[in-house]
Amino acid sequence: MIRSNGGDGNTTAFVSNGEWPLLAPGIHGEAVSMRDWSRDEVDFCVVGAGAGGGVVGAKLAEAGFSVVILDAGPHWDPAHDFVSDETASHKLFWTDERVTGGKDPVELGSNNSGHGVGGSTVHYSMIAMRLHADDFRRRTLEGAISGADLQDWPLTYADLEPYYDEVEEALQIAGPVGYPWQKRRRRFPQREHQLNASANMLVRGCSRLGIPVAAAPVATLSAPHADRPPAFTAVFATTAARQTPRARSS
Amino acid sequence: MNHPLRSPYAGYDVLDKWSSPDWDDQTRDVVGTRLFNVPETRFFTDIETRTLEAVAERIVPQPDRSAAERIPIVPWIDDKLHEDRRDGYRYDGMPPQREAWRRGVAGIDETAGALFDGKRFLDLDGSAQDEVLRRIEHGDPPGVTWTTLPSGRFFKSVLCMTIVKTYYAHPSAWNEVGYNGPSSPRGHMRIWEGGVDPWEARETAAAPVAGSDNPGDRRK
Repeated sequence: MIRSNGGDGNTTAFVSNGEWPLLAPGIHGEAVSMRDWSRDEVDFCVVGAGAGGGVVGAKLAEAGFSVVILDAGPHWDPAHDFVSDETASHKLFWTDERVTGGKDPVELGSNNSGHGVGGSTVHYSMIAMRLHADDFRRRTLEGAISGADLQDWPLTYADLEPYYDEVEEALQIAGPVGYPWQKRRRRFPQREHQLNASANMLVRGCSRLGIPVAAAPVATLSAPHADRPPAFTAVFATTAARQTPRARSS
Repeated sequence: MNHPLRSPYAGYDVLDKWSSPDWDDQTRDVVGTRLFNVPETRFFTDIETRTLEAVAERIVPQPDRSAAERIPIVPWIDDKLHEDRRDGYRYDGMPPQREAWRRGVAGIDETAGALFDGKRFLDLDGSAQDEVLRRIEHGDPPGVTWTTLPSGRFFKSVLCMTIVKTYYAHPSAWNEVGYNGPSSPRGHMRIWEGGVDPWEARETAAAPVAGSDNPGDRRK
């Protein structure tokens, strides 16, 4: 049995008798026949089509392997399925129940995993910062911290830099020309977005205090690219903005 | 509250955007459902429904709205519970949502009865109802339910969170606070300080009400 939240937000159950074709929920909650892979042998099966699994699957396919990627929920079409509204965006959230506890329990919900093909990339803030070179060697820089098992990464920033370059190009990250923390980096593929009122206030305050400041690099387009229109400014950008974050994988 | 709540955005109607480039078909579907397809009660009993309506009236009072204008709250909570659409998490010690609501509503009546001579919550006047809710909020209410259901957590993260989210999902609440609702596909253009797009609400310079304690009346 496959269960999913359909496009209308209601839970729809498709009960299968175990014979092909199995039925899966389409983006509008309708039943769609799944492609039958049961008689095919593939090289790799990747679980989850999010920021990790999606890239791994694409890289394997580009290298000539046959790949099946599994993900839960509908294959959303942002242009037709997303609404710039907090309540209406609940369908994008992973709502299988988890218990949050401890001394200072974290509130989950609109800030947890996404539901649908693409995993957490279905809804997130699009912030796309590289780790700083120092982030890879915090143990060396800060020494042991009581109560924490602080370690350096086994990689350095230089090891990852070419991959950062590649993914920023693929996603067409929009970022500032001057980035005070990585002065020797190449330019972001797209120019930074226009700053809003609250961001400009932070810029003024930081400048007055002598704190370096720059716009955050984000994975939304500031100008058209290929078949993707630029992003626009909406109120519920974290939970519900209809953006087109996905890069073409042709 | 001794006087009608007054919005500083009098005359603003977010529904004027209905056929504007700000709303696409799926936006109209969502807003239209909220306005015109209020679900029938299927989860709560009649007494639970009326008790919760009385609670909602203390959390987000609507004294200025006629019965036809009032924002429906309990029907949407009922719908969420009937369909069992969950939030993706719950706090340790809080039962799953259906059980939490059933027991919590019963607990509200237990506390009301213990504090006020066996009366039901919905038979109390407003200030007595506030006293019941305050005790539940602060975590020391009388009532056997609250020995196993954490009352402060129920009040804040279940009861208030859901009531307030439901209230502010309605276009009438958007009008009240001057929020211009969903903005897709056009989005916002004038995002600089003081920038107001022509389709956004503007505060009207209403004369303040003498002796008002409503913050909305003190603006301008």
